[in-house]
Amino acid sequence: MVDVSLLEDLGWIICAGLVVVLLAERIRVPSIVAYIVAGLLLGPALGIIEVTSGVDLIAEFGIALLLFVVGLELSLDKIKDVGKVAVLAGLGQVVFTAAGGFGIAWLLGFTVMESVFLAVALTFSSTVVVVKLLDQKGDLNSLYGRIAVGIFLVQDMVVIAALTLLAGMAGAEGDPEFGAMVGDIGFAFLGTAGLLVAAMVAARWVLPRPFQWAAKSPETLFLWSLCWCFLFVLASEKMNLSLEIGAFLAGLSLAQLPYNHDLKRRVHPLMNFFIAIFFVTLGLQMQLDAAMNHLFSAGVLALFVLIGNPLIFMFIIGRSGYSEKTAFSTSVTVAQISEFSFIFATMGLAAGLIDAEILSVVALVGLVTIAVSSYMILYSDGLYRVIKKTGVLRIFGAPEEGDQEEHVELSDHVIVVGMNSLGRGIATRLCERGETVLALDTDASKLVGLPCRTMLGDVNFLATLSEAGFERARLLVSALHIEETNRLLAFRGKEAGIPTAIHAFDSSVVKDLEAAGVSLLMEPRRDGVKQEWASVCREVLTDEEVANA
Amino acid sequence: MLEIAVILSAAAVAYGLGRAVGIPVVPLLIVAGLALSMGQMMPDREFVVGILEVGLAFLVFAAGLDMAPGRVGKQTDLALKVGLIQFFALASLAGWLTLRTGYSLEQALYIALAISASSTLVVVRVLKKRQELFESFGRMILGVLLLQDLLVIGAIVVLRAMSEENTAEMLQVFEVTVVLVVAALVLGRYVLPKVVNRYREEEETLLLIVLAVLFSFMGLAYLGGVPAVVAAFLAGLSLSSFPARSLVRGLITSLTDFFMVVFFIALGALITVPSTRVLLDALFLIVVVVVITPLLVAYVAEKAGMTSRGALEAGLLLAQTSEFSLIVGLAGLETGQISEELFALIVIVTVVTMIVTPMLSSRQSVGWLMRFHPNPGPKLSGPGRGEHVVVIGGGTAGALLYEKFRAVNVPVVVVDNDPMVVSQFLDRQCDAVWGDGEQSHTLTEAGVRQARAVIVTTGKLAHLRAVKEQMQEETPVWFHAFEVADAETARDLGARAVNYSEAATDRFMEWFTETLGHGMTEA
Repeated sequence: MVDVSLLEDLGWIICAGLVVVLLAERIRVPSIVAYIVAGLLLGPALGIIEVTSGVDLIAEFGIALLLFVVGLELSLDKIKDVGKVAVLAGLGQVVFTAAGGFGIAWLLGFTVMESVFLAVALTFSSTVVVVKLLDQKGDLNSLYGRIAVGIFLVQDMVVIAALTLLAGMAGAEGDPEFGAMVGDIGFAFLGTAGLLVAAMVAARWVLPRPFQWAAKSPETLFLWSLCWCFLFVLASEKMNLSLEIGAFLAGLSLAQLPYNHDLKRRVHPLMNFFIAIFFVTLGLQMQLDAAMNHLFSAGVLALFVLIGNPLIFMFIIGRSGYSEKTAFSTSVTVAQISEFSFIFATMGLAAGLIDAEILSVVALVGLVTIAVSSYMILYSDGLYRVIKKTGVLRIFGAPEEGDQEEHVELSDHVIVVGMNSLGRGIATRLCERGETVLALDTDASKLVGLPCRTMLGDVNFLATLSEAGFERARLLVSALHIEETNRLLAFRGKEAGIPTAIHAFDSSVVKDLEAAGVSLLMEPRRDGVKQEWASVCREVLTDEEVANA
Repeated sequence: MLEIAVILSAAAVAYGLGRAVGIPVVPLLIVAGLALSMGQMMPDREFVVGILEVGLAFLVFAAGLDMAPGRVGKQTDLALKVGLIQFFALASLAGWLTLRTGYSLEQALYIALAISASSTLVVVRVLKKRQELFESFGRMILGVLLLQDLLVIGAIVVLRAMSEENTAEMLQVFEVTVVLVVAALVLGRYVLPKVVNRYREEEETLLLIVLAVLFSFMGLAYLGGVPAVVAAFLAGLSLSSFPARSLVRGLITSLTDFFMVVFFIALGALITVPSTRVLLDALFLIVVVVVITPLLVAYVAEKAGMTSRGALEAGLLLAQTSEFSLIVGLAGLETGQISEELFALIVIVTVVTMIVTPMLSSRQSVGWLMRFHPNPGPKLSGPGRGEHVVVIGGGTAGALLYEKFRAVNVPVVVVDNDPMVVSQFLDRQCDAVWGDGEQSHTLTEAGVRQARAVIVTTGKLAHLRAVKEQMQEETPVWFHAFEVADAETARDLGARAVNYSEAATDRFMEWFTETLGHGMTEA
């Protein structure tokens, strides 16, 4: 019981991550880059910690949660929308980048085997990096975000094929059994199809009733969903698939239920914690020292990824009927290599097919491309405007008109939190009055039968309020019987300059709410007594007593 | 990933079962962990201990974060009396009994400490379910629980110091603890509220800040030889002022929920199968907790001013050991002051007493046990009554009604279970009866049978039913209900229902039309 190594490692990771993130914030460096730099400082630079199995497991947990969140965000229809272009672009890019990467590496003087490894390593883009950035930008659900996610999932399948081939080559020590490898790859593809079918069957026939029952308790719903996610992750591991695919499909199956947005908001903070550890771990594992002899080569390869990959995508997506802006925004998402590239190179090193210098080159290219592409993704709108002015984008032949995207944003609406009798009464009466009302509760069954828009969620999460359009609301009403949450809502309303009407369910909470500056203190007991008094007078008091009154 | 999938599956079963049969989830998680360990489905011990440490840190951090004495309000004095006497009396009794049964002084101290506190997780859940958390009764219980958490944390420091080999090291534990306490107070007062407010819209950075506070405190504690749980608690405490607490709470709820599950399952997996002697000792301690705690708390609470029924209910609600008992056990295990068997004993007592709490503290149990109370009646009474109005519940509505009746010279008798409320009415020359509106002798004392009207403002249908049993059929009775369903039930029982959520909705609509309605009118 005295082993605190995991705690100690986590402590270092979190504290270093915070320091670098706060410093990086001042020069607008994306948090992902800050995390990786923190990892580089803790590991390769200062040697304070190493990646242990516990930390590694937590990092993997973060990846699974990230993809689970992505799955939760996407309905099946949205996936179908972009399926064709994702397959086309994903496979097309793999072929072009692999061929281009091999050619450049070979021209730079690497051996054939080294060039093969570098080419394959350059082919993969990082699902985790891109999804994290899209999430940070709030664009996961946008058209280009969905295309990007689709492409990365296609690439994940290619990764599985590549890793299977490499494992076969390494295991057979130069004399691989191609029949067995083809069998393994076929099994992986069949496994993916099987998991997809299982996810959809479960979403349609298995999950709805038990999850409806569990949804009355947010903690139970949360735990059941995590359990569902990791059962899929486990199944995908057993089929030699990536954990990303399993987590994504688990999320996708739950996305078909009405609790997906609430679940996403609950899982999000957990994911933020674990994924930060993943990125710091990525930095910890980067061995850059041996790359010093190949700085020029690494620079050329990084430029190829940063410029070549987006060009290939602009061409493919631009020819698929999407607008120039969508094609551009999607294309910049692939301008980096993946954590899989490191794994692939590490396996090559372990198999004796390449030496440590190649692994370092891959790490250096990874560091540079992840850092630069983070800026490209976060600031893609500005970058698009600048490049558009040069007229270069016209050569890709994509239409300039924007794609139609559904954007329904509530504004000037009234948010009513807590669907007890008071909340329901207010929401219904406001609706009858013609107001736009959004009713919120943590219990899905309490939202049934209301005449207004409804949203399942916990207002203690900032994301719930943001999604409810809190900043644009005309009024925030809380009918909750929860002292702490009511105070928080009053506080948030005051800070955002939005009027609030809060339920003061007990005289003991009035003072705090008044101090918080609520616009209307709702005191039902006082109002009830006022209404009651007339009938009490009529039935209880004598005429003389009434006259005295 | 197998490890995580197994843990989460066990947790999913525990949560489902807990929800289906109404048992607290904590003991079920521990049993799930034990079952996984016995079925050899848990990973190696190093992994279990690793995640246990992380889970423990988050659990205690959350407890520190919830340390808001302001929530206890006017019940602070009562909570202090009940909490302190329960803690020390039960600890002394348990310590003495365990010493008599052959345990060493150190072991007896650990057992005593583990037995003396009640579970915040379990009791708050029960209070929430009964919607009593924000009533004076609930606030008093909350105060007792917060106090006991603080006392356990303090005691863990003392026990850790006792485990040190020399005086210098012992003193160092206290010194570092004092430094951490001061740091928590200073940071909590002057620094962290501003920092949290500054980053309140940047969730990712704020989460890192909060976690960095937690890990920094724990790092300092580790260097100074102070138990990590103490540091985690103080880290939470440093963020416990409003609005920092609320802003942080939303951010870490998922993390604490997740790590709480991990902690209890890992803890269950660590338990070794106990010997018959340990099982018998555990049984003995379970009886002590389940029998002595209610008697002790009921006696103290009643002496301190609660009604006999409320005091008994409080005693039954507090009759279990705490998640902090498990932390005490872990602290002893870590320093080697207690054995794995003794740790198992503490876990068994906690699991069993937590499981029986909802059943033991149910209204039926309280009602049944009240039959054996030697003096169940109200303690105060006013002059002879007749032609008066009885108001059950002296809160906001009761006070307003009293003012209105006084204005027309109609005598009123207020019934309330809070002695402070009753005293306030008596001070204002209003006749008041201290007791539970559910009990016939209280209603008799208030003269319900002779009253010209009865108004139940508590919103409790049980009070209405009790009143209907005693009063004359023709006497009008009003019932204040918040929920529409309760109002309908009250009407079915023959009462005039005052639906105050409807009244508040009317008032809200008036205000809305006047201030924000842009001149529109209701359809």
